Amino acid sequence: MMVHVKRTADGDPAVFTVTVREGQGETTHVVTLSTSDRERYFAGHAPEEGIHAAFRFLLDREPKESILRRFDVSVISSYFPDFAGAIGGYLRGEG
Amino acid sequence: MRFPTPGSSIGLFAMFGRSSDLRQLDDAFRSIDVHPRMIPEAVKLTMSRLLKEEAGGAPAPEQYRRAAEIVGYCAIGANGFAGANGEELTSTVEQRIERALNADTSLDARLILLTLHAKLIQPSVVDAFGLESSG
Repeated sequence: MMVHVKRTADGDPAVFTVTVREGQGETTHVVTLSTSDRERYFAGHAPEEGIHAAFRFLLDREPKESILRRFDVSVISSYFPDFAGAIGGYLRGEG
Repeated sequence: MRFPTPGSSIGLFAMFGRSSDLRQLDDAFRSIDVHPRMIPEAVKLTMSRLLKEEAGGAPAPEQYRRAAEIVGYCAIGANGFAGANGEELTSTVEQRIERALNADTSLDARLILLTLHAKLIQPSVVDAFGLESSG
């Protein structure tokens, strides 16, 4: 599975377009990331690395078709409560 | 041995997969960019029951979507809903909520009340519409 992250707008929140490819299938998602959430979840990493890690986390838990088309990073922990605790491992390449 | 009739129960039949109406509700929530895991199963089960009561049988697919719009709006608030679904649909849902406040036995009114009782509703929505639960 290939995850491609592209920043499409700076600012607060920054906006990213994420493409997930698997075989012939592809999904596209628009993700927003506030400065405070960047510090909270992805401190010390580029935002793109953080978004990529967040998608690896999500793809370990649901198929790409189930990932919302548009969401803010802050909502992930509301439906996957282990996100805050687990994302560090994904950022370190352990996920 | 008697088997229960298939329904939305998360009991025996959950062993064989998620019921069709709960799957349709999950899909309806995804279609408005509200993750179905954000909505408690108890709320979805009640939504399913209310939809069946309203339809007098199996609800039409668009009824799941309409119900998800009301519950999703209440669950994520105006800004989150507008960010995912645009101003036009947000305005439409807000008009439905306004109408529901004047027709407290409508399906929309019961769905709003459900989000209040389940403490799923955003405080900003409660404030914006002056909502309160009497029971």
